[in-house]
Amino acid sequence: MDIRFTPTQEEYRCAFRRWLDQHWPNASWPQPPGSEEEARFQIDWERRLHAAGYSGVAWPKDYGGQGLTLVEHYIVQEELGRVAAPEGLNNIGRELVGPILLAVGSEEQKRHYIPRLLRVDDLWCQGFSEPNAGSDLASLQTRAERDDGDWLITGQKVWTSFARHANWCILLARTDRTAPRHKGITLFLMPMDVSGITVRPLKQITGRSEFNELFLDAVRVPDGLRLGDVNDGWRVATAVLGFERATTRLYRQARFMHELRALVALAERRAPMRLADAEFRRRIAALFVELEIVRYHNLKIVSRVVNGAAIGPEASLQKLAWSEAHQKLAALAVDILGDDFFACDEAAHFRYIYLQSRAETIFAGTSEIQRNIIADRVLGLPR
Amino acid sequence: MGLQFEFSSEQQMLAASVRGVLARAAGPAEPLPSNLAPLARQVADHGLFGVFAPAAAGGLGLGLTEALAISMETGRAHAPYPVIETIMAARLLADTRPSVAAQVMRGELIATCASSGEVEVVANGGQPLLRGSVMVPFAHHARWLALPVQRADRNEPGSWAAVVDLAGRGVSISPASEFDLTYPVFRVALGACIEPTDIVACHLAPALAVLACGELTGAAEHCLERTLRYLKERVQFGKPIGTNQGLKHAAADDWMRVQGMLAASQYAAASFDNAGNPGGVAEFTQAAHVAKAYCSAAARAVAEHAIQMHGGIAFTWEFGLHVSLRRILRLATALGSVADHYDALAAALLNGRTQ
Repeated sequence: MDIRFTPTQEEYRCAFRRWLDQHWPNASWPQPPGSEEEARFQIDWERRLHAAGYSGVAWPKDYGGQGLTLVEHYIVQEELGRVAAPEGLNNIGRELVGPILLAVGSEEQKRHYIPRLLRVDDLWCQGFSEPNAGSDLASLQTRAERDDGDWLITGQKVWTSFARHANWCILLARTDRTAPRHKGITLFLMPMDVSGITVRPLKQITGRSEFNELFLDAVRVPDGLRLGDVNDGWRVATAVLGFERATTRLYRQARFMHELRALVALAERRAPMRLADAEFRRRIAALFVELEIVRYHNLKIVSRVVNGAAIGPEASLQKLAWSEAHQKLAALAVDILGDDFFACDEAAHFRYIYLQSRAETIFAGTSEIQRNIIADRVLGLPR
Repeated sequence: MGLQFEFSSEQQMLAASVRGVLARAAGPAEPLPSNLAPLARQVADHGLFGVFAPAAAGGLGLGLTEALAISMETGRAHAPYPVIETIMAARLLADTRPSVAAQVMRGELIATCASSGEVEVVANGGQPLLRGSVMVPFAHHARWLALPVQRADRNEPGSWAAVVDLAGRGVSISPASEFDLTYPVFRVALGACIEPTDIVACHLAPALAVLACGELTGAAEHCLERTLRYLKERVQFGKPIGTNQGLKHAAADDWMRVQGMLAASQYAAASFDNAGNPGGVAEFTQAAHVAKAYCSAAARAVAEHAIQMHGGIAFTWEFGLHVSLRRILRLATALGSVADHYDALAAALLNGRTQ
């Protein structure tokens, strides 16, 4: 057993830390939520990271990546979380589209789309969920029908993050209505600037509008933008999603630890008496313990991947662990800050994460679905 | 060699051999045998008591990680023998009393460690005096005791531990608890003189706490395995009870707890083995607090849920789940409770702001 990184990997971390010290514009973040300035800031930041060689870290050099391992990717994510840099507007591109393309894209698709998404020449959104296909994603009804060698896509998608900024959408659509429901679905790369697409922002409980509804009316997509085989989209999407559930949110543990330290610092100014209270001290310690456990799970997953082992349904553990820890962090902020949670400007971020973290146990598979996955596929309990 | 956050194949083989020894020696629900010697000899034959003692003293010279792999098996089997205490005591005795250490590693003498209480070293001419009271598993059966001590005799920072002959003068042993049917605990009152060389610098308490985490993990895993088996077999309303989502989710949560316990105890043990690096001691101390706080709370939850998920059968003495519950509850409180470790972490996190 070895929980250490190699000296070369530690040096890589130091170098990135030095780069962040010089380039992370701490003073100009956060920007006004939902504003054009915020969007521009994030896109600009992602481009600077890419130009410096800190995106696509574990992706092949042939496609614009850095050709390193998941350890270096993890190190970069951890350092970004440590300074609470944003996850970026193109995180669907980096964390979902890129891995799916690498897994099943044609050579031509990989060479074209991956460098573009890393440079943020393209910005991606995700068209998976539908009003009647949430947890039961395989029941999706949006259909793609052949027309002159093209596909005509009609239907409705929902929870489509960043659709207003995106120029591409990765989409699941039904291509065979007679096949068993998991076997009639195909993946498409759909341009967003074609006719037949209507984007309607959804105002969320945070007051922001990152999610959108997407209405598709006979949107014409050439067959060359199909990803993987016809009717094989479900297998591809779920295989990649399982792996991605484990490896894409490595950033968050470090950011939550940053938030815990920020909460303690704010409580020191606003509610020093509560930091002398044994109950609150233990809740702070308990949260620290829980976040450390998330970090250990991250390390386990990275270790498994770099040593050549597969990541399966146990990725659900990771999703449950970080999303539930974040809700506890938000609850602690409410309880420890009291009136100041509601009234003080400095607590704005904690008000935001209290509301935002409601979504985190719902999206990307609800906590209940994750527990079902563990019970059925890991523990082998009868269905 | 780079990141490898799993037991190595050698460490897994070590665990497998311990599992074999313990499976031959005793079943998990059996009452405490009156004679501990046969089990001691079998464990000793594999050199396991010396796993953590230096090779120069006749030990295997391995790390806390290997000792942890063993502790998971003693926890799983609820071994009625102070294996983890003997492993730690053998390491201390190797530095202080090499001939005693050799006897302990051969299984001829039982050595144990204190699980709570406070003892200070008082200056007393050439023979320092140990003064205080501690809780000690198997004190009645053991000849030697290792324990953390506060140095009132000199102002030296650091962690200290001492070894003391339980058959010597100034030692009084009385039964304290038989709540854990596999692990009797005694109160040991000390007013005993020892040799100056019987005191060494050693992170005994946090290292032993990590091995307790290993026992908690193994014992909790045992509870979960029994529960999963039962959820698949037991039929009510014409179907296995494991088809019910309420029980599925409870089992999934307990599986997550076991995974967290495994990761936390492995991380803490590996941190100890790296403690020679700069900042290593602070990192190990923190990791040990994290592991003991987490494992104590999580194992207790898994054991309590195991009884709930089994229903009435688990409330019978004969079914034996209470043996696991009792062992886990003792381990969860020994070597610092959840609250103790939270308090230590909070003190470090809150920059010295005190209660």
